[in-house]
Amino acid sequence: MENYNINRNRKPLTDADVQKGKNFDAFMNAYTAKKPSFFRTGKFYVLAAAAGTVIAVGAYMLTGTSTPGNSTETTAFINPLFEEARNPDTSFVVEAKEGALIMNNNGSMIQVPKKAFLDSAGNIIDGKVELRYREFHDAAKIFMAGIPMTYDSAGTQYHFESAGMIEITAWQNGKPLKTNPDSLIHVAMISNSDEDRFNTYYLDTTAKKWKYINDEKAVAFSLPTEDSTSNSTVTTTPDAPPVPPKVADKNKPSFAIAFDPAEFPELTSYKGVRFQVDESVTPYNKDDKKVAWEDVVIERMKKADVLRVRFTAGSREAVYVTTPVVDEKDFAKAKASWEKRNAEYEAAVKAKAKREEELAKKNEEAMLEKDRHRIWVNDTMAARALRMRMAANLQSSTQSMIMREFVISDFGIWNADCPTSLPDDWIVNANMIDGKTGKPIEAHMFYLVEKNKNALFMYVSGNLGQFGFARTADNMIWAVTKDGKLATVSVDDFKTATANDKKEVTFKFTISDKPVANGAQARAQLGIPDATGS
Amino acid sequence: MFLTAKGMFMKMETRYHATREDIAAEEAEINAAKRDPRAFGPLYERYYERILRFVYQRTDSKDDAYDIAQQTFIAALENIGKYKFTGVPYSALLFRIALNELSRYYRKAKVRQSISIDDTQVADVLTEIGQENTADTDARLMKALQQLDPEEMNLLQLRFFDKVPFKDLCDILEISETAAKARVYRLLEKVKTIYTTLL
Repeated sequence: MENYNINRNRKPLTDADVQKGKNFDAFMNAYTAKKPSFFRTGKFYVLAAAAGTVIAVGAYMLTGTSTPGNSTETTAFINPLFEEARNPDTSFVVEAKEGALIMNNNGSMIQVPKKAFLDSAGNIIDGKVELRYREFHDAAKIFMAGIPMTYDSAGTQYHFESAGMIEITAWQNGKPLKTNPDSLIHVAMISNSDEDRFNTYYLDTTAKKWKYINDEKAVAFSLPTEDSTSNSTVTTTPDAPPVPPKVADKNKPSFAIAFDPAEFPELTSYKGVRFQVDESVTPYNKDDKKVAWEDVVIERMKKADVLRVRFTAGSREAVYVTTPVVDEKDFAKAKASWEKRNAEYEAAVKAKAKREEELAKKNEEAMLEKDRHRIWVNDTMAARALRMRMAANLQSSTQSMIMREFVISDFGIWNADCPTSLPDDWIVNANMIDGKTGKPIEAHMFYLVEKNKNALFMYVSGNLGQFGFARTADNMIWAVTKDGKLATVSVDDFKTATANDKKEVTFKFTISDKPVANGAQARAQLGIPDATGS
Repeated sequence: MFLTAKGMFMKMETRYHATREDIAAEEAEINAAKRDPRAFGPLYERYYERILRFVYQRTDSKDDAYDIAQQTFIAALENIGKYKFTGVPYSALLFRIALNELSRYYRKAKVRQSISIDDTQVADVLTEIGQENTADTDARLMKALQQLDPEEMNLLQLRFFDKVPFKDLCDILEISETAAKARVYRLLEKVKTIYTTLL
């Protein structure tokens, strides 16, 4: 009975065959398509909330009038709370030809190499360049800037929790500049979290989404470490060279043993291989063939065609230095097989040499890069920032000083983020009302904020029946009313809001008298002082 | 003379990782992918070719191999949240998933399990069971292989066709190295017995 289809001597896949199937983006599309539809998951409201919110508020912020029932007409992506929050609040002037090492007022460092800027035509530019820069270390600043904090990955909507975010742009004569891929700016941003769960993302304002960059980890600021990692090495070495077959000498003793072809591929050329004893090293003991050996170990010697065979049974041991041989009748076949394997081996050796050469070049480049980075960290950043810290008498000797590094391949917004889901510890039907008038709050979206956590969980007004939050957290709610005023529920007010037997909770908002005009006003009402100095 | 020995297999260096740094880096990649599926990229890039070739050896067409390899990675990513890193290379899990996906494919498509084998591998197996390599012994071995059950065939393929070292075999099968060796030993005995009955 035939149970298996046997494909005999089939051609292996070529590299082109492999490349044809290897496509991570296509794979992610397939993965996403296989996931259950959002409409069939309990998370639909999340997506609806996020999308609806961005679109609707965009409409309001840009035009001053909302478009109920037709909220897809305007699609602003970044929606600051007030105009001043639209742009970076710090600027540095750099001589493009020379580069610079810049220290932000909170200790973060910006390393601008020479020739780091290109104009819109791709030409390296000289002269003075203005770098506009800001950092985000709390939810209030992110909220004020109106930066979207949702992220789609493989069809699932996440909400970002940030370990620090930066915005960096470059300008000359009022025109935006581009990065030079051959000379990239590095930013070492002070972060308040040393946790490993944050990845690096870049906000692609053209595609209107966050792009995953890497899982770059935080680095302890005060401990620039010596490079402890060894250079990469070529780990796949060709097997040992196949041993050219020799005909057995009938006058010399030999024996056959089973061996693992994966261990000794060089012997697989041989058909009916025997191990011929070199009696000049150890005389052959005929009694050994009567012993039921428990173990046998084959070891390679310096010469490719010499193998030491060690037999053991209890305390008894026999060791022979041998040469693999074949009977005369098998020699022609063995030779042909050897020639084939030898050609393969030589090709593999050549390929390995080429890989090693490429790797050596890469290692050299990596070492130079590491050296440059280490010098920067050790000699400049640490010294300057520590001096600054001492001078400012920050009284934070126990405060962790953690750096997160961004390699600025494009100007814009870079974020160290961890994608998280909406809190679902407790889900209620939320009523949002004006604490003074008792009237419903007219806002397109509501942000749930946990104090001391840099995350904004967004809910659209139409989905407040599924308002989730963590009961143990210090929660706040922030919103912008349709007439541009800031509406907030403080931590204390949130705690006093209790659910009725239908799991309905009424949250009473404090509303500003008029639209907020600056960060100080906004922070005062949000209850988040600017502690970063950024 | 033919000397018998039980402990004929020796340890090999793993083919999966060269250094502890590699293993630590892989753990970081897995954790990143748990947080964000897009971060699965490096694992996919590293293992795609090996999984595809592995699957192709067990299917009759390239298109099926592409589909099953893709399904393997999808299943891996869907379950990455449950994955607990134990120092075993991630590839071991991928090979296990690939074998499951292949079983599912054979059942669903109602096709026989496929194996790919070349003359050298036939010669190797014949040597293992103490036979000469001739047209007759070759044909007899092919008949003997047809009588193995799927689990035995998987083991034979892994060990003798894919040349998976024991250290890695036990990671894939989630058994001890001793158990892996014992299974291979019993398998060869069974092949030998079946082969003998065909004489």
